[in-house]
Amino acid sequence: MKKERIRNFCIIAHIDHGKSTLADRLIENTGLLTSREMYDQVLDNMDIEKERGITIKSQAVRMVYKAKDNKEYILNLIDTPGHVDFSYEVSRSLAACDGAVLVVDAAQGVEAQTLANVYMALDNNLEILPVINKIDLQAARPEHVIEEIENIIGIEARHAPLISAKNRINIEEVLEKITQYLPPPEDHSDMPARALIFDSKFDAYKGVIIFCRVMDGIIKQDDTIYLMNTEKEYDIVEIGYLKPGGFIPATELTSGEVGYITASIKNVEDTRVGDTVTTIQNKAKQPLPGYKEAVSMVFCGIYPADGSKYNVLKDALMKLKLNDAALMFEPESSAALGFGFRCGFLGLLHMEIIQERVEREFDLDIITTAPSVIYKVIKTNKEVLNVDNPTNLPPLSEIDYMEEPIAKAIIIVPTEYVGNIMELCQDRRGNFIHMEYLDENRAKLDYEIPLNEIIYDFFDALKSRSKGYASLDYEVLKYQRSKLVKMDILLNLEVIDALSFIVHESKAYTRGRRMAEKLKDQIPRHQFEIPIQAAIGGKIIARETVRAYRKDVIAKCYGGDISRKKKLLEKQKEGKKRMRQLGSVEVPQEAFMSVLKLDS
Amino acid sequence: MEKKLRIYIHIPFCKSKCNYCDFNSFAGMDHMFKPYFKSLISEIALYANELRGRKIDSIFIGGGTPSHVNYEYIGSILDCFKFEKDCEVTIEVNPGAIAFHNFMQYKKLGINRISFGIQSFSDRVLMYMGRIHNRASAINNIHECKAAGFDNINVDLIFGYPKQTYEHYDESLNIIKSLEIPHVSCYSLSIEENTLLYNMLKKGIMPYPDEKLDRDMYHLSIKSLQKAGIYQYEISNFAKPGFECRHNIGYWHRDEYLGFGLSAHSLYNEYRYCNTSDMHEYITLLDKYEKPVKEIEKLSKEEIVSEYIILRLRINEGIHVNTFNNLFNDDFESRYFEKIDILMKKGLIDKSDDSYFLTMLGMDVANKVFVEFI
Repeated sequence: MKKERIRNFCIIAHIDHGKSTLADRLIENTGLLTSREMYDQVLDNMDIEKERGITIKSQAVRMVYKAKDNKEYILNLIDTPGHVDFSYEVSRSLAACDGAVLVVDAAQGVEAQTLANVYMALDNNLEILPVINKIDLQAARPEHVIEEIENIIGIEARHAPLISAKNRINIEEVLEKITQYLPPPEDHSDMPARALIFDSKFDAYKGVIIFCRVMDGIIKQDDTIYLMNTEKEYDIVEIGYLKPGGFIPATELTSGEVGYITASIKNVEDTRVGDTVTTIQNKAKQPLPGYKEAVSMVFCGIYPADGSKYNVLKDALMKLKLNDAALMFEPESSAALGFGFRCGFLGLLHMEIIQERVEREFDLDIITTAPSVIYKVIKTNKEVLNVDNPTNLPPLSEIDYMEEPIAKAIIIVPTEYVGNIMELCQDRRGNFIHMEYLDENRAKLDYEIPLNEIIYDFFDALKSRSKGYASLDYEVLKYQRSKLVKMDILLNLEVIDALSFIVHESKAYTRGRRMAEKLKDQIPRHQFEIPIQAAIGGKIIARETVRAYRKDVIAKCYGGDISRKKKLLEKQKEGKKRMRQLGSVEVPQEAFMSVLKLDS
Repeated sequence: MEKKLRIYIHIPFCKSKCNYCDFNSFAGMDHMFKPYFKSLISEIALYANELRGRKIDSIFIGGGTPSHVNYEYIGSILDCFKFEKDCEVTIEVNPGAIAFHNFMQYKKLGINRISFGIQSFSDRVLMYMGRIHNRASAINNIHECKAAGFDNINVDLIFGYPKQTYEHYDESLNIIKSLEIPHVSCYSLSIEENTLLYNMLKKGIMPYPDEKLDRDMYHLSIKSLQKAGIYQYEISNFAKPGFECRHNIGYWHRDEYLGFGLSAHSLYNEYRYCNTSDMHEYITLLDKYEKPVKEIEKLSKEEIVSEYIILRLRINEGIHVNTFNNLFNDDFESRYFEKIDILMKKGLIDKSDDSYFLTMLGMDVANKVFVEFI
């Protein structure tokens, strides 16, 4: 295949602007699947991805398109994860491409993620083809959006196809423009072999499947590959191209091509996204630039609701890790919750996804503790500790000072909500950096906000204070000295370690009070009175009481009542299942996450 | 030996609706008596097979207010069954809607047990409840009932009602003792949605009842009645020895029963059935000679065991370990070892003479015990 007829591209968009739907249409239009075979959003094939409408794992698909010039083109679509947590994965997917299709919603225009993605694409020297989607909406204002793209992003947008992916309007034009406006890969076939891994997954039969773009040289079926950053060597078993839901084996992959490699690899950790594949036969001297180790930003404890299921949980996490090198976990124990795992995630969404997959795919009931970030604790003896669990904080007397991670946040919001959002950022200890009007209706706000404020429900608060219009993108910028304290929660006079959290001094009193109130609503009445206390360093700052109940009895139970009362008891039992026994107190599992909801 | 069968008849009519009532009962629907009883008789006829060859050990005519309808309607229903003199036949009556001659008529129909829905002997509390009778008419009705020759009499009381005081309730218990009533049901008020009381509480017109007072009243019932030789035999039921209600004990023993009428329930051959609660549908179906059953539930072995335990724990005789083991070919104590251990430690259940039963504390929070066996 001639290189000038290959197009390696990705689709970038803000969430819900129609990225996956457009991908479906391109696949459908190039005849890879008939529409009857097509099920919605072919590329997002995890349940959770479909439900949440986001792409978690990137994948790729190869399409053959016969253009109006009567020539056949190979279009390799590399799907990118659609969330801020996965920005490193996105950057590697983009690095594997030569061009990008930028989908912008004709009604909503440019959003925070649109910008973040475009900047990343430009950093990777990608040619960008804008596409205006949802033009059949009542509120569509394509002319305005084209102007916005030209003014805000600064790229030519006059030629942007006006489409509706959902209703199959103008899809052909997108394919045609991809061949016309996006460049073919440069041919470096004569150089030593280098392929960029943009994804990998574990398959029970094939072992790890590496998804990669060959940048330089040729990788042949009987080569031995060498992974340059993890320094592992494997004999290739199979090599080839990708089609939706399957593989097309081939004899080689050459510079400019996208495909897969299997080599009986047992562990996805050895095939990190961003790593470079070379061959022993034609070994490169330098890996491709841009490789980074995955860094966990957010941590929480995950415990089996039923203590005896510890091993099932361990097994579940290990299986998930097979396909998710960014998931970190190590055993920990809590006085309140018993044995479980401290888990590290790329961000909040990543955390939620893992929690949900554990519950769903492994049918496990789990308890998760409130998320935490990594704090740097500088002790009086100059020792520096990284603390991701409030329980591990040394005694106050040993702490000289603490530092917390600060994120750089970009928020795009309609001008009428700027006041609301600034107030929210202020309230979350944000540091205002810059504001810019994108047009007469919308503004872009730059803030520096402590990460521990962002993980506490910031995104929901942002949405609710802007009627859902504000969009957010953030990345961790630096560590900064900060006055932080550990809040302990006591139930029935006992400290419950799993409920402790670290909070800025200025917000400690409010959060402590709200936490006690929240728990009062969540903890059911017992046969005895339960004091709920919030304390900082032994000093009680808030107290609530759950009154005791004295009566819980169905007084009348005759012929007609038996079925009805049984249902009542079954409901009670369901509630009880979601309870965790902490000493003498039964606490619902949700309570461990309640610190998250203190501001809503 | 013939297997015992129990019959329940539901009469969904009342003179007026009480504030706390969420039962399927109607006031001001007297024009429906005739079509309803016609349907009732049709329904009973549809169960000829189930009734054939079975000894009817008890019949319970409940409501609603059965005494609100003419005794001839009651008679037409009892005529549908063959029952012996030793069959316990109960009818629920409300004071203020009944007189001496009615008791005489019931006697003639073969009814031998009268259950009074009195609820309280305090006029003030009766007013809060929205009852139409008063203390004087209630006491008068009980005397008339006795004069007509009934000695098997029950009185229903409610405690824990908003604004009802300990003294109000103590007085009611004392009146029962002085009238030498052999059977009392004392019900802790349960507040149901869709009742007038519920709305009054929500709106703050009435204060929420105090749980501690409710329990004090409950414990008073047990102690006070015991002094008069009226012993507790179920969470809410008290009787002089020999006057326990056979029909209701049947429910807790899981005896088979057939219920006829609107929203009546049945337990037959380990199926639970429930009739429609829609009057129009009930009559229409029976016009076409179709059973008015709305729900059928086949009980699994597990459900049967769980029902057995929960219902047995309601009664003071409790669960006899050997009987349980023989019945289910199982070992109660090893199967529920952990649960029994926890419940004993919490003081909610106790054991004596090879039987497990609820303690006094266990009766206050019986649901917490039951839920362990669901």
